[in-house]
This record gives sequence, structure tokens and C-alpha cells, in this order.
Amino acid sequence: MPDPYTVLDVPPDADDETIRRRYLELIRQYTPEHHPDRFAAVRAAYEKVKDLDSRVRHRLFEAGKDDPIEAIIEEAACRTPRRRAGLRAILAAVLAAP
Amino acid sequence: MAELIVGIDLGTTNSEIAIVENGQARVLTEDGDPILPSVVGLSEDGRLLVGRAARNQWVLAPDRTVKSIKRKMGQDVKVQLGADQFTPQEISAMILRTLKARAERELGTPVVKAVITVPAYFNDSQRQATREAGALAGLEVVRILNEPTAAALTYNPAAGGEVPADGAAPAAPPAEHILVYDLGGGTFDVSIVHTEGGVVEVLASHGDTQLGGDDFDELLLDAVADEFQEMYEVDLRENRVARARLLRAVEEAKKRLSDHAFTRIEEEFIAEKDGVPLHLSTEVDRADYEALIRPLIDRTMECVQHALDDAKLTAAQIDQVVLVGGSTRTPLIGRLLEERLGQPAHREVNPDLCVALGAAIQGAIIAGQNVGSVLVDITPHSLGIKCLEYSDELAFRPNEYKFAPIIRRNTPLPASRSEVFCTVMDNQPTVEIDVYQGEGDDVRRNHRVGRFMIEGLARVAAGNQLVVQLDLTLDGILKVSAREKSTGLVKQITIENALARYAVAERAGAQARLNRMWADLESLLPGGAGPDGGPGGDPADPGAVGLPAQGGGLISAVPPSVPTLDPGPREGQRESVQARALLEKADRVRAKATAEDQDELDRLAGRVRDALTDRRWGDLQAACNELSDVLFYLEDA
Ligand SMILES: Nc1ncnc2c1ncn2[C@@H]1O[C@H](COP(=O)(O)OP(=O)(O)OP(=O)(O)O)[C@@H](O)[C@H]1O
Repeated sequence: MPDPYTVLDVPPDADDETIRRRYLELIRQYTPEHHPDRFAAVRAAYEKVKDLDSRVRHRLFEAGKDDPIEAIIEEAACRTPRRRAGLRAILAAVLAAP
Repeated sequence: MAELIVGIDLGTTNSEIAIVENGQARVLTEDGDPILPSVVGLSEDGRLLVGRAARNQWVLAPDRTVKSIKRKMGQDVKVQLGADQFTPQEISAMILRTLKARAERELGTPVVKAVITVPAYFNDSQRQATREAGALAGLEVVRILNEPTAAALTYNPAAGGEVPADGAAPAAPPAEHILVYDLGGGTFDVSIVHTEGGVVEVLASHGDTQLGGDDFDELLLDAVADEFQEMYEVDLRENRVARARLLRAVEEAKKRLSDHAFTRIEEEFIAEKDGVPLHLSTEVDRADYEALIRPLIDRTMECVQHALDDAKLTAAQIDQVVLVGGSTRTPLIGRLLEERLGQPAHREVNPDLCVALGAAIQGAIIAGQNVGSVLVDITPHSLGIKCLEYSDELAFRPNEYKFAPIIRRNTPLPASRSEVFCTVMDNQPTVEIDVYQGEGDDVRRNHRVGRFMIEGLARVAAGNQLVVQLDLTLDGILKVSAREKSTGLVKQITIENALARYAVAERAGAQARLNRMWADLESLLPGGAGPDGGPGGDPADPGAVGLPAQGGGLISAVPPSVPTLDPGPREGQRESVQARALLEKADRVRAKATAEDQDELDRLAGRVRDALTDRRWGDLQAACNELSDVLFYLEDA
């Protein structure tokens, strides 16, 4: 399964706004009428990383589905302060999940 | 020059055709009139009439005239027109052909390709019927487009001008959420659209394909006819001509009520009683009329709420409310929408033309003209298959009508999704893939779009995995495939073919008949016959539209409830599933039973097995009943 960040060509720590802008750019370039495969790939990638919720899900259950949970927590905790706020969000999202 | 793809709004009451020229969309007119009434008739001497002439004669000759045919599209019915019967597709084809001829006359070139709009809430067979009508009219339908989406395209602030070829956005217009409320003659749709940087994304669609201005007319007609009956003891609805006159009168009155607080309905000599002519003369005021139609408008407001919920938006997040369709001129609609959404609705200057304009813009996009817009549309319905569900308690009697959605509603198109299902019986050789569209948890509440059998499966234990994949194209054409995971055995269908309304020969016949009628009509038209090569040529195969994208590896795991497929064959399928469940249970109970009971169980289970092997479904049922009675008794003991 292609990595959504590669498909969209954005860094893995890109924020919502960056991802959204890049997505719109790609959609204009790869219209559904003329590039259906590419379009579908861009759409699918965007759905996986468009907001924090989706990114957490992607990180935990797709990209990191074989990683031990400790590794994921460590990764989240060891980044910059901005990323540490992300850990809280990650845990909240994980705990809130049914 | 880019290829010409026209846009057509094939409406319940009115139809239009539009093109994009020099980056600007415009509706083509005839004698200055952009609107072609969607009415088809036969004149007294058997000539085909389409449009205004047909509408005018409808009052006098309702039996030789057909209107609102769109409401029957996709149904397996025929309508009477003079001495002959026609399918809804054939009637629609006559309207399409008239529009095609109109465009060819004005542009001086053959028109072969078209984008045709349908209500967003049209289901698969209604869409297929529309394609079929296009083919009969000699048009290659390159895209079926949802009406509210088309309207939104005309509203896209980025559209209109040429933009740099690299796809970069023109000066960034603000991102907006637009709610498009579309109420025409026969159908209602609401869509929520997000526009940003030239990309128009449909977030959610809801609607009702059987609700529109026609229904308002009927309600008003009933009210007036009831009043008349009370006064004169004559039911105007019983006489076709009287009814037709009354319907025309109430429609006119309805329109006047959009601008006036009250209006009169006057029809002289509308009926006769004991040789005395009766005149209709009554007054309707807007408040009474609004009370009459209020329940219908309330239904549309519920759809608005559904669409907001689906788009995960609140009313306050909507930036613009756009009204589309002639019936939105009804003031009550604007009022109720404003109450609900907290802002006045933006009335399009020409609510009845913007759908055709949007279709033309989409045509231009497909033709490769850069009109500054990209459309990301969605499927308004979920698509999935029928499967068996063993919920714990009911393992004894599995739910055989469980709907397992594979592509969920509001998924952007083109979409490609798959799910894994498993067989329920050992050595199960066949599985039936029964495809439905809808939101019901029970397939019986949904709409069947097609089915097929996958045969020759490996002889293995129950639990043989099948990957069912659904591919939905941009205009809602569905391809379904089932693949046996262990062997790679594949079977697939394109629903388009599965549902085609016509056999090839039948289609040729319908086409020939249309050609004959058309030839008669052409000879009457000013300016003579339409261009050659148009009518009568072999219509391009509607299946020629681009195939759906191959899935980007969206294979999901076995769904949580592990739905299992119906085992084939169909006949006796239900009985055999029940019987197997019963036998398993008998095995479990047997272990704890006394020797005497064990003998009894063995005897009854033997009978069930025999009936199962010999496929004696009647006996099987009887044997199962007996076994299940004994099991019931033993289980409780
Ligand atoms: N002034 C008005 N007030 C109320 N209703 C009107 C008015 N003008 C037109 N209508 C109604 O609008 C309807 C036709 O609208 P429109 O042409 O948009 O529909 P359509 O495209 O034929 O239908 P659909 O989109 O449902 O297939 C008719 O029912 C007509 O009576």
C-alpha cells in the first residue's frame, strides 16, 4: 500500500493546512476525468492523513500495525514540544475509539 | 479546437441544452426560448410533437400526449401514446433528439456527445434508463451528472475564465460551503458542496426522486375539484379533458401565488350537468395553498438536515444557500430555509437554466477545455451485497437479508472498494453475489441492481474466502467482481449490462420506430432536416465510457460481523442453511442426551440429511421442524 505522504509529496509532520493545499493542487492536476487512477490514489492518500484523527488511525493501524505500542509512544514523546501535544491527542483519540 | 460536448438538463417539466463557447456557458434557444417543455404528443394526423406544441395540445388530447415521463424512468412500464405503447426511455429519447436537433441547427455541426443531468438521488436503474434514452436519440452520453452538482459548477466562483494550463488556481477565491436546494417539477435534491481553489467537492447529497412541483399541482387540483364537487356534485377528475384543463389552470394559479397573496381560477364550460354547462370560478389565497403543500416542503427540510448531518456541518457553517429549479420560486420555501439555516437563500437569476449550464461546463471539462473547475462528485447511495449474518443468539436462524455495504454513501467517485466474505458450507461450489443499493440494513428495503453466481469454487471447508470488489465510475456505472482468494478464480459483471432494458434486437426496433417518427417530424420543421449522421446512426455504445480506476489497494479486513455469503443455489438455499445449523446444534445437544434421546436424535437428523442430499425441500422442512421440536425439548431439560 503506497505511503500517503509519498503520494501527496508532503513531509510526515505536515499540518492540516499544508496537506489540504497540496491535495487541492494535485486534484487540479490529476482530474478524475483524465487521470482516474492517479486521482483515486490522491483521494485515498488524502483521506488517510487529512486531519489528526485520520493521521493517528493511519499511524497506529496501517503504517504501524506491526510496531509495538511502546515504539509508537516513544516516537511521539521524543519529538519537539509541539509533537508532545500530539501524543496527548494520539492517546485521546486511541482511548476514545470504540 | 476542443471537441464539442453539450450539456443537457432532461427535466420533468422542462428540458434545456447548453454549450461552452469561449469559456462561457450559454443555453441554446429556439425562437428566443431556451426552454423545451418535456412533453411528447401525437397530432391528430399521427405526427410526432415535442415541446410547446405537445404541451398545448395536452389539454385537448391528454390521451395523445405524455408529460412528466421522467418520473417513470427506470420503471418497467410502458405509456400509451395514440395507438402505440412506448417505454419511458423512448419518450425521453424524443425529447433528447429534439434538443440535439436544436443544437445542430444553431451550431451547424453534428452533436454526438453529451453530458446529461439526473437528480442526485436517481438510483442505478433510473440512471441506466437515462443513458439508454441518450443512445436511442443517437447521443453518446459521456457522463451522467447530478443536477445539484451541475448547478454548483455554475456557481463556482473560480469558474468562467481561462486559467493557466499548469492547473494552478486563479487568484484564490475564498473557500465556501454551498448548500444547493433543487426543487423542480418532479424531483427534489439537496447537496452540500465545498468549493476551494477551483475544486468543487460534493460532500453530501440527499433527496426524493418523487417529489416536486407536479405534486403541488395535484394537491391544489384535488382541493379545487373537491370544492367543485361539493357545489355541483360533479367530479372534474373523472373526465380526462376536464381534468387536464383544471391541472393547467391550477399550475398557472400556483405560479401566480408566488407573486400574489391570492388569485382566481376561472374555467368556463368545464363540465355539464343535466345539459346545463358549469363554470369553475374560485379564489385561492396563498396561506391556504401553503397549508396544503406544507407537509411536502417539510419533507424537503428533513432532507436538508440529513445532508448537513452527513457532511458533518452545522447550519452556521454554510456560507451560501443556492436555490435551483422552478419550484423554488415558491416563497414558503425561501422562508422555511431561512428559518432553518439562519440566512437568506440566494435565488439564481434563472433557477431553471443553471443545471443545463453546469452540464455544459462539465462537458467542457471532459473535452479538456480548461474552465477553471474540477469536480469531485460522490455516490449518494451505499452499494453492497446481500449476505448471511449469524448473530449469536440467532445462530439457529441466521439473518439471510443482511445488507453488507461495500462502498458507503457520499464516497467520492471514482470509487473502488472490496471486502472479504466467506462461504458457510463445506464444499460449497457456488455463491450468489446479489448486489443492492440503499441504506437499509435489510436488503429488502434496498434496491437490487444486479446479481450473478460464482461457480466452480474449490471443494474446501466452510470459510472459503471471497474478495468482493465494487468499482463505481464517475457516472455511477458499477462493476462487481468476486475472486476466490485461494485459487484466484474470478467472476465479474458490469451492472450496466446486467440491467440494460433492451435486448439488442429490441433496441434496434425501438430505434427504427423513433427514426420513422422523427423523419415525419423533421419534414415539418422550419429549415428542413437535421444534419445527416445524427439520428439513425449507430449510437455509440454507452459502455464505451472509461473503465473505473483499479483500486488503490483498499482491501479491508474481514468485516467485524464476519458476514458470510448466501450459499447457492437459490432454490432451497434458505432451507439448507437452516438445516445445517440445526444439524450442528443436534450434535452439540446429543453429547449430553440420554441414550434413548440420542437414538431419537439420530433418526431425525438422518431424515434431515437424506432430504438435504436428495434436495427434497418440502420433506426437509418437515424433518427440520420435527428435529427442532425435539431439540427445543432436550435443550430445556
Ligand atoms: N413562479 C413559480 N412558482 C412556483 N412554481 C413554479 C414557478 N415557475 C415554475 N414553477 C414550477 O417549477 C417546475 C419546473 O421547474 P424546472 O423547470 O426547474 O423543473 P424540471 O427541470 O423540469 O424538473 P426536475 O428537475 O424535477 O426534473 C414546475 O412544477 C413549475 O410549475
